[in-house]
Amino acid sequence: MNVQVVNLGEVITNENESIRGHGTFQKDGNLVSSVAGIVHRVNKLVSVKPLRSRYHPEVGDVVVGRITEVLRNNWKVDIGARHDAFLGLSAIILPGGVQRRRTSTDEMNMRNFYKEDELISAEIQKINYETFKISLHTRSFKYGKLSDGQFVTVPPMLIKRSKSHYLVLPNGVLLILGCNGFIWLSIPEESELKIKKISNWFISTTTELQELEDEINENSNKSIKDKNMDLETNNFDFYKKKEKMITKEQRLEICRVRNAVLALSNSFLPIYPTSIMLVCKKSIEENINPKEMIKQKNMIILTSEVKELIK
Amino acid sequence: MKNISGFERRFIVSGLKENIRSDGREMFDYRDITLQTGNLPQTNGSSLFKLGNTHIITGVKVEIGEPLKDHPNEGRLEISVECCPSASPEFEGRGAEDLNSELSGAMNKIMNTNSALDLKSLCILERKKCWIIYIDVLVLDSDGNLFDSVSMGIHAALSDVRIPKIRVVPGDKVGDLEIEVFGEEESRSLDTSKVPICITFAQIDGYNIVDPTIQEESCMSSRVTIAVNKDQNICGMMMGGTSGIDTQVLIQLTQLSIKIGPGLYKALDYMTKQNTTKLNQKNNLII
Repeated sequence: MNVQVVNLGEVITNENESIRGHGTFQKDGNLVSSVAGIVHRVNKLVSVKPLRSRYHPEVGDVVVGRITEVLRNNWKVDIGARHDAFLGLSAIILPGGVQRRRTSTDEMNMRNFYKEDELISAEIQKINYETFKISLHTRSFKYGKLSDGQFVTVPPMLIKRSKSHYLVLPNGVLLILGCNGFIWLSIPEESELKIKKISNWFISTTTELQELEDEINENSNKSIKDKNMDLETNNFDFYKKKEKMITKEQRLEICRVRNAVLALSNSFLPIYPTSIMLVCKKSIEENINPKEMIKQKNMIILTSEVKELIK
Repeated sequence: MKNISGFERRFIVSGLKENIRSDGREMFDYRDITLQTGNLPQTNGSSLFKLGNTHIITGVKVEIGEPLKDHPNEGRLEISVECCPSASPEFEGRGAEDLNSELSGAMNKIMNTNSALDLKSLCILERKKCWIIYIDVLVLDSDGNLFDSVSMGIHAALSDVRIPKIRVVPGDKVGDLEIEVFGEEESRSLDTSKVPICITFAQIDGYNIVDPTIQEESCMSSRVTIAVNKDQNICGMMMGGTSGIDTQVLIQLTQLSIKIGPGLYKALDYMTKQNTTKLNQKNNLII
């Protein structure tokens, strides 16, 4: 694959026919790059995508955000982009799953839904490019308040946009990969799921890779269905979030996945289920405890297989 | 402190019940330590110290000055700690002022004494001239546990310091004395065998953990920092936070810090030794 990496000020091309896209400017008849990154060409449109930048939101992205303010009829959410996003009161699921008009009582009860500093997962509904207003919504059972888990941050460009960002890994860890680089790790609601030990997992051939993806999708869908139950039972239970009982083994698995994500982020490798599982598997093969995974020398060993896969 | 939700706090506390922290560490485990000395060639001694994601850079300059009136035959240390505004959002503007003075005061308290360094050996002429060791610490990146990192960074920088050899000669005018400074080859190093390091305990819901990350620091109710030296003596104690600590717990923590101290010193010494083999090939700034 031919990839052109350019640096700041490097001449990309000197054809006058190219249309300049983002990250480029014209100088002395040449098209020069204004950022350090990779050149993208679509017919005549030439643009440069920077290697490291703030999260650039797109409609339909799944993001994890932190509530910063509670306003009159919406919440302000920090998603790590250049502007804060807004989650409107009409964009959330009401307890009982009813569809009705939001009243002033709802406005008074906003803190019963989401408070300051709480983490949510949501989808970007629309972006108003004139006022830079980013609107979020949590109108599905896989979105909403995040509780009893860990929060990790990685550079946003390491997370590829894919079909599903709400994943249940085979070792029983719930992973929400926000496109903005904010990642949530927890344990899914029910244990009907097929939990398989990582040591029994082989991810060398493409058929096994497909099996892995199928299993992840199956587990993820089961988990979303169980979340649905929560909604129908009680008022506000969906938002109150009772404490989940997490066993010691489950907690160690969360630590393992967390350190795997950080190891990948450290080596600037893409973060998606296969790469995370490869790192976890390697840590078991090499007998590396989760707490030792974050050491520099171990990180190199763990990410070696992923680097091979990327090539 | 970074704000975290009640749910994340709940997760951290329930993890402590099982002796598992967010990165898999146990209650009394330190994060990975990386140490480089001699990074800044223009100083008399320097170190770049990393504890997990907390990065500290220390520079030491020795100058000749006047001793204090109540310690006429001793030199002294002047430690100043500054948290870089880029290290953390709360350090922006004047946000770090309180923290800077707290850290500087704490380090001065534990290190600027005769029991840490032989200050009498820093005297040149009684009541007139002495060596003043200026230590400047810059916190480049903060991921919690600044007390321990700053103290260990200072310890490493002091072990890298080379004080030039000097000779007092009569000056031009009668009765004047001048100080002749020799080259670097004839410099001496400081005896840092008694310099203490800090061990910080954070109390979260009754559990005491060592080396808190910035998320754990936002959950803690109080902090105890105990300074220990290589001979397993307690050299100082500092407290912070909003709630108090039981005396029994305090005694347990001091005993615990004496046990943890040797392990840390071992790691520091091992890394300092690795760096001294490269002493003759002083590199440029290595970050």
